[in-house]
Amino acid sequence: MQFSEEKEWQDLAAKAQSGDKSSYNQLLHSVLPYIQNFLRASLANPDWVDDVTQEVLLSVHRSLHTYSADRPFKPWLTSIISFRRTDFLRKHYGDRKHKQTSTDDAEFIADHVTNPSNAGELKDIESSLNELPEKQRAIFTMIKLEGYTAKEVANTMGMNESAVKVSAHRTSVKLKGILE
Amino acid sequence: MTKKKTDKKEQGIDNLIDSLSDDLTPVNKLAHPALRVLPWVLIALVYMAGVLHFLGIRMDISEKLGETLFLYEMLLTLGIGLTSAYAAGWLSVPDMGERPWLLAIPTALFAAFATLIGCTIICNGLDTPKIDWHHCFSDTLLMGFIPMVLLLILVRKGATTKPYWMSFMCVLSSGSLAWAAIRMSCMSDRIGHNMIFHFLPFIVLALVFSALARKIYRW
Repeated sequence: MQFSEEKEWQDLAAKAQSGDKSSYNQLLHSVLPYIQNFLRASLANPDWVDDVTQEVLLSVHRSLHTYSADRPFKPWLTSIISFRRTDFLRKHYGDRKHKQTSTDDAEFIADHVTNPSNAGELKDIESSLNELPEKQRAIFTMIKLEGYTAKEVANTMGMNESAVKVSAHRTSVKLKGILE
Repeated sequence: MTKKKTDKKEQGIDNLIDSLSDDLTPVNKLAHPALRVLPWVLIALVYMAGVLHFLGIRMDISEKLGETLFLYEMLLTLGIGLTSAYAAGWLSVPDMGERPWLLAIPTALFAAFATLIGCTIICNGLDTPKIDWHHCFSDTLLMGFIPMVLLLILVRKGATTKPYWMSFMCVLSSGSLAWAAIRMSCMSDRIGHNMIFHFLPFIVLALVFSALARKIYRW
């Protein structure tokens, strides 16, 4: 079964390379479930699957000339899927600072929060954070939410590294207490 | 995700497939990596031989070629240059991941070269040359930079999924061939001199091209 599917993809890809539009259409429709299943199994948010799938399809189109029909099609396709998935995740997490928004924005939560059903908890965390002293809140936000290292925060705040770590830890404990 | 939203996205993918199919034109298939890299190897060797002729071959070359260690160093760098160029050719196709040994060979040879350098430093000590502008620095760049740019252009025709490895292999191949060529020109066998003026330029280029790898090989 697997072998015949692989052979079919190889043949369709070879025909697509020679400009056969219907074979190409058939190939893309045929590989679509494979791409989506691969991504569904490896992405935390199911909403991202279709975005990455579109990127993968465009990449397949752009790099069709690099496929050689004497090699199996699946490893070629899988490499492209992995590459685009990594690209997407890098960009997504790299940009998170620019994607901060109110937790009241339902559309944003649906698109960007890994588990949208937990959005209510996010609101609680947000309001609990607002109860903290400004300095403590800044340290906690930089370390736990923005991903800075204790050393970087220490340099920014003009404190020593261990004081920053202690503050972040105490804030975590305090928040836990508030949220319980 | 709501059912409506899913349907909309599915519809978007179907439309995308249809428009990609409509846009399809016959493609010029990429030749086998070995066939694509071979002309580069020939051009690089001819170019380096020309630069070597321009700079002049070291006077004690016949004596040096009789030394086992020098010959080993030459063969090792030639091996690194050829295998890493071949790996760069393969890296320009997405399914290169199926052949990790292609990266392992030049990396292992480079490790052997680093070991040779390390042993030379332990046996002979590390002399520290005066750091100023030395003609060897520009000679090394003259020898290796143009072949490296040519290789970068050549492999950009593909679609790499490993841009950092690609940058490393491109610098490694032209750098090691240039090292071999410049060693046939420069009379100095002092390791400190060779490290600073023959090796350091390629370390700098490797760092620059690694930093820019994702931009250079974007597709």
